[in-house]
Amino acid sequence: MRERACKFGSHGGLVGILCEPDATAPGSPAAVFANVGLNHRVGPSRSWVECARALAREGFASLRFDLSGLGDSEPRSDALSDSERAARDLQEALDYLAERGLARRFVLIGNCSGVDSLHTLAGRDPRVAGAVYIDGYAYRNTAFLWRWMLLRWLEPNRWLRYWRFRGMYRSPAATAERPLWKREIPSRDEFGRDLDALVARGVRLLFVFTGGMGLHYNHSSQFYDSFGHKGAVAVTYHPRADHLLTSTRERADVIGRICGFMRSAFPPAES
Amino acid sequence: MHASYFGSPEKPLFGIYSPPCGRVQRDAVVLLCHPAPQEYMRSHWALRRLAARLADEGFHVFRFDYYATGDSAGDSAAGSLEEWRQNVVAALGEARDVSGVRRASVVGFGLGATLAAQAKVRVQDLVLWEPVVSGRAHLAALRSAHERQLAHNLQTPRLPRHGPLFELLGHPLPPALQAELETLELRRPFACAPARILLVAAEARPAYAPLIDAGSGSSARLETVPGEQTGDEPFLMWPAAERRICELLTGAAA
Repeated sequence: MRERACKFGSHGGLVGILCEPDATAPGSPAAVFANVGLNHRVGPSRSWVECARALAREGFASLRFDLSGLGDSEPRSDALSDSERAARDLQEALDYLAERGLARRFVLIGNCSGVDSLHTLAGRDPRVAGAVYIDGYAYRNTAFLWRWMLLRWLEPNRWLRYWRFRGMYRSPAATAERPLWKREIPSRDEFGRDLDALVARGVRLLFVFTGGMGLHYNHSSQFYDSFGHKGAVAVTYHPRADHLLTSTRERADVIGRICGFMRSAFPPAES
Repeated sequence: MHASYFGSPEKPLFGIYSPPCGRVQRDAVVLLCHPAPQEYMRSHWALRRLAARLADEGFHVFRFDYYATGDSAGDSAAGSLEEWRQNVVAALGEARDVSGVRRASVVGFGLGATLAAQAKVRVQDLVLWEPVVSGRAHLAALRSAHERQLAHNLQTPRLPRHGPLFELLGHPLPPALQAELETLELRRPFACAPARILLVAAEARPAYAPLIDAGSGSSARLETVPGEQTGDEPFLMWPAAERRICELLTGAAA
């Protein structure tokens, strides 16, 4: 495996790290990671670095980079919206990899707000062959509400947490401040249509949900119950992991699932 | 801004060099030392902004990731304080090579300040920005931050009360590194033998007293800069401190 720094993009100001395996099967897709919120390209708790290197051991190249104006990348001077600017940056990352002959198809990997640009680009760029959404979009359903209203009060951990962190915990409402940017989250129907289109196009998809999404996702089958596509779309639920994959054990587990998804979705023989 | 890897081929380190971009060009390079590894992500943006501010003032600026942190090589569990001190030495050598200037100053934040002070380098000015004076107290503060950060998570794995912690705030904490941190103490004289020491902090804490001299004109003095430095915010936002550090170095190099 080797890593090298690069600068690219139409304004020449995007900074990233190319991570290349010792040997890549012809036709293998390259993975592309961008920022998680305001965290720079390394990812929270170094998660993108660990994931990129794990993928390199599986034979997949990757690029992790900072969107314009974040991390080490220079801001753009054009007047695009946050989401459109991020999608443009992501597209230029794909252009950079394609122009250098590093890959012709790509798997986009995002966490939290990082899935917004990923989702936009996946829908319009035919070079996107796969996407991994970590805690991206979740939509409550009846089974969610049933668990939320009743079963959660029966969990001993909830009462234990109340006792351990009493006085320390501040509710999200109490700590809410003006957001730094506004996310453009698709409605449930829009997302369902987008998902149908991606599956019809043959885009391989993995959805990862953690316990950090507990206000929106609380059981493993929730995604399939809402949108179907069981067998065509991979879903994995990690209730012990937090949103930023802070626990080293849970992070390793999620990275292992991403590697497994890449192995099965893009085997060398298929390339 | 030039990003590249440097150091040995077995353990390459990631570094970013920012050349002077203002009207004046100073014959001095400033090395920025991140804290590692728990507060690295939190301080990245602040140090990037400080680098840009210093480059605007005509300094050559170099910042880097320690081994086993950030984009540098190494498994996340492979870092040690001794290795990171050697990384400071290697980074300063690289900073001098890429900039072509010999006169160097170092700015370190948190644990990065402590590592810089203890590294065997020769520098003009040493800026200690909220340095870690006691490793044991630092570990206790990180432990508390870990519990606050994960307080909302229903199934948070509990940290052991005693003995090895194994991980802290998302990063592995191998027993050897924990032992190094528990015995870490910042004391003068510093190995880097600076001509001037500037300690920048939100308040004058008793622990800082042995690190500075009495008198405003001394070569080791404290600069208090008001800031919302509670340690709970996910990202360090302290522009007043960045501005003051820049003023201090500019005055020294003018």
